[in-house]
Amino acid sequence: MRTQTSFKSVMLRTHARIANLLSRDQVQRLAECPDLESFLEALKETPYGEITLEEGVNPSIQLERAFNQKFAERIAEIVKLTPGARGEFLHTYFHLRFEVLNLKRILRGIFNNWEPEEIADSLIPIEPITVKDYQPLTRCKSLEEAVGLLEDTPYKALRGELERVRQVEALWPLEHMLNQIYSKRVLALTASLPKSDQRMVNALVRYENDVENILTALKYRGKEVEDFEELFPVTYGVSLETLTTVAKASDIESAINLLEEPYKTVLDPLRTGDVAMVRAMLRRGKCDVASRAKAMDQFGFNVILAFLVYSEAEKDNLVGLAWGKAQGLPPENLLKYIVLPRG
Amino acid sequence: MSATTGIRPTKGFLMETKRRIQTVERGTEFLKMKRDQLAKELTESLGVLRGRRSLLLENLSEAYRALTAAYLSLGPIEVQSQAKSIKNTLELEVLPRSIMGVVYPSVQLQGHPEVAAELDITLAHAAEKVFQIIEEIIRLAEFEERVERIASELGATSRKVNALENMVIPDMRYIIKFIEDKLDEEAMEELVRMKLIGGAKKS
Repeated sequence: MRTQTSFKSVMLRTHARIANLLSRDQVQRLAECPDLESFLEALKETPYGEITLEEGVNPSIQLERAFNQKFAERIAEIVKLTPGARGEFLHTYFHLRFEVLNLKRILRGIFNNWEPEEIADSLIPIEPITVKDYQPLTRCKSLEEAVGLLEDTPYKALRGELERVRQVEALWPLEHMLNQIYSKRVLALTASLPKSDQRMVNALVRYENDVENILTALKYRGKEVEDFEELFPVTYGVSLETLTTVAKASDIESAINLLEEPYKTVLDPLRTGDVAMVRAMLRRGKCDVASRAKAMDQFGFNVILAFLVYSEAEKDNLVGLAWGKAQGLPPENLLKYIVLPRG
Repeated sequence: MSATTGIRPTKGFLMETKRRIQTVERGTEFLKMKRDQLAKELTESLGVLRGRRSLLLENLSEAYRALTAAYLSLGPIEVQSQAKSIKNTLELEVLPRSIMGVVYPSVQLQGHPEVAAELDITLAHAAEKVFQIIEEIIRLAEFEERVERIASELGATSRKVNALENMVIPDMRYIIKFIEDKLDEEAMEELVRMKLIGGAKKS
């Protein structure tokens, strides 16, 4: 009974948080700011408040860090509020995503002999979940040393890819392995949720995984691929067979025509070469999945997950807007990639 | 200094100068032909250059759009991180080539970085466009250098032709005329002297 009451209070707080997300008008105002200074001024009137920029550091990178920080705080707050397995799931799901992203950035930095401080600056400020600390990794002098430090973690399979990295003189075998490890872990993680909550999580995870798989297939179109199973370790709505056919399609039109809805619509901008719009469509699709699930149960776990999905979309919108303002891009070029949750 | 300073008005020097003027006139003709060819080549190249430049500008704005889209969808930190993960770079070889004696650098692309596997599809698309542009810029730079060198050679050839036509050949003609006049004068003096000697003997 106590758990139910506290869960209801979490729901109420989450609804309040959703109401506090940036509205369409606020985003429009931010996009219409003539420069970065006025963008920062307009941002003061939002929950993000005043952001002070250091001199001599790229302002759009500083702002991206600030928005990432805010998103990390939101995850931490909501995880703290959410009781039981659901809280555990949210913590692991989001932290794992950013851990994999940070590990990719660390490995790229080592591969290109970046300074440890430079690597540390490129990381998303979220605590690692299965790795003890990022600092020793950023100080590694070689990929072998870094992979060695990951020996006692779920990333130990990376060691097997080192030989391939040496052969192809590229980092992609390690990045593919990280993607595989992530997909498999998320799949296992979803099973830890109560059955009633699995539907939306599954829909989100599957949708994202399917679109990423299709994008990978399109990226490898016309190139020799040794093992498609290795390239697509986890498939859901789009089968390995379809992905292989997409990767072997003669042109982009016929590749998209091979797909079913909603993937066809998501990838439609590729017909006009607007690859970035596909990412915006992917974010929009995730928000739509979250909105539909939220509408079905206004007092369920879906609301919490929807809040985090919307928050992530908001963070991505702001990162894009800040960069666009620093570059002096007109609002219409920025607004077309903005994703706002419907409903 | 006059063109005739130090000239020996002898028959041998006259014949030598006449031979030289023939060679110089033939050389001038060749230079004129080279000048006309270079002018033709330059006119044609300028047209091509204008076309290539406007095409490059179009492609540049397309590449900029793709790069902007990549930044907007991935964020600047991720773009920088991914972009720095590419190790292989563009490799070039610069070799000398020649057209009508005008040597210009010819650039050959040796190695091309494989970006598709390393980057997100958005960034891979932008990177492909940017590499395409870099190749076009290299080709355009090579062509511009060629045009510049042709133009400079055309200028030098025109100056040579003008110098030959307006200075060297007229000077040589003047020398020939000067020697011929001198020789005629000497022959006349000789004739007069002979006549005077002949008249003195008779009287």
